[in-house]
Amino acid sequence: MVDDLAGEYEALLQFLYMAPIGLVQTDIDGAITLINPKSAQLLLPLQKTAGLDNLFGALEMVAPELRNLVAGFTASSGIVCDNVQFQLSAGLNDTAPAKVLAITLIKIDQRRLMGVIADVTLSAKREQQLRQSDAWFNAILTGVNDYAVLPLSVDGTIPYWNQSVGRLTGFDAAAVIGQPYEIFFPKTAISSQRMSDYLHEADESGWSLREDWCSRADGTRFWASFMLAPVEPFSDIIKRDRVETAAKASFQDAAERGYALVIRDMSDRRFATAEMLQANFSDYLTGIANRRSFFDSADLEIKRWHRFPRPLSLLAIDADHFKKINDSFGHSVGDTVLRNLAHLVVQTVRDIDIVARIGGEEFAVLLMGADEVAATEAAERILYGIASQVLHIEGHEIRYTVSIGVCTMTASMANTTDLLKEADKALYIAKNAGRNRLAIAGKPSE
Amino acid sequence: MGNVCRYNTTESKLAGLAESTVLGHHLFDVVAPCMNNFMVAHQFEDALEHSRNLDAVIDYVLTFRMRPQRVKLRLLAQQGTEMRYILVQRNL
Repeated sequence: MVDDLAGEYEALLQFLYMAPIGLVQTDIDGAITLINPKSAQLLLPLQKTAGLDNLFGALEMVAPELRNLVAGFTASSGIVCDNVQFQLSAGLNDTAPAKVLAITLIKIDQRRLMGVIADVTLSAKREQQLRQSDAWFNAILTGVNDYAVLPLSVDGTIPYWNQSVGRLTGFDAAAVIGQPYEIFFPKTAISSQRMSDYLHEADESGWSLREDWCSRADGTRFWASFMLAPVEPFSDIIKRDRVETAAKASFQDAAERGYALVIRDMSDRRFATAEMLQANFSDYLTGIANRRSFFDSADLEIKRWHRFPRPLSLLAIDADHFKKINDSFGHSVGDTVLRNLAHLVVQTVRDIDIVARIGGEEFAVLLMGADEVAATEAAERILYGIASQVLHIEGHEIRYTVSIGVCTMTASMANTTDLLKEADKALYIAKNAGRNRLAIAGKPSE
Repeated sequence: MGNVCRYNTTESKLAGLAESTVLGHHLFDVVAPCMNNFMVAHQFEDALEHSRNLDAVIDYVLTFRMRPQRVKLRLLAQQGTEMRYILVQRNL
């Protein structure tokens, strides 16, 4: 019997030792009579001097009003303050995260107070983030026709359907659940690889935001902005913030990692945005990407390549004897030839490839997912397409040809400049070998 | 790492915890959560992280049987040794 009691007593002690929340009992002046370890853990770092004799004294630096609250509480018992939050900025080690404590004080009777102290650093932080998100969402949602918000699994598939998805895209639950999120984009304009790149970029920078065409269930397109943000599992937050161990247990069943996807219908802003994009990133003459835009896209693509190598090739295309065309027929004819060249190249490659005018008569094509064989085939199609056409411009019958340097990305190339340099070398070889032909970087001309 | 290997009788009596319920358990998680802060636990972590020896005496308050008691804690850690120690001095 005595052994049983001793065992129970020990279990009760351990229960109080282990309680993940601070419990304190004091007399009416705050003198501590009973206190559990969690309280000591939370309060001791706040003390200027050793000792933990008085609760009001212990919290003097962060909550000086507690004493007054109790003094002003005239009822014989009741809640003096309920979950009042105190930010602990003073008295803390510089390297420790800014902590927030929530304190509840209950007057038990005329002589005793019971205090509950909780570390709410995490939830305070989440509340703050939530408020920030709210503000941000309110700001960006203004002027938007409609939007859909949905969760994504870590692999980019869609675990749930909701009304907003149906309303915006017309997809029903059966068409969406378990599918990769690329179903919201036109098939020719997007690849699985690109979708996974966006997820990686969201991981790296906290979000991935872009504007592009999205497609509805019926195949129609709308101009949309879409944002991807990683949803952090609690276990990571705990690791990062060195959360006290007692709090860990409650987060053990935390949700798995994933993403939130927000698609916004920007139809109203489409033209303004399109004009802006056109002005800043397009070549005025041909309407395709300009040099700046090409380097932006290619740099990003090469960064992705270094993170996860996959086939990637570049074509450097140069119109043959272009100066002669300009000199013989005038610049306006030359301009029309360049427009024709741009148009034909765009028609020959896929939507996901990037076609840009990077110099006077020099063009570049970044071929996504294309190895040397595929790139060479694309180059041959372009050579053939151009050489086999006859243009009628301002009364002139004009034929022209191009030369192409083909280069496939390798680990030794650090950036776009390196890749372009190799493609240019091959282009030079093709020119020297007689023009209207291609050369592959690092290989003898055909 | 951080599990209790030795627990003497005095400490056992004063804390009201049997040696058997303490040995093998994590000190800062299970046995003495009150020390799981930058004053104690993080001192040991920092010493380990920066490969430093630790010998510090700090004023502290322990909560044996929920009664606050002022103590001095001596924190000891030496590189290359398996065990780290916390000594508790009462009767200040």
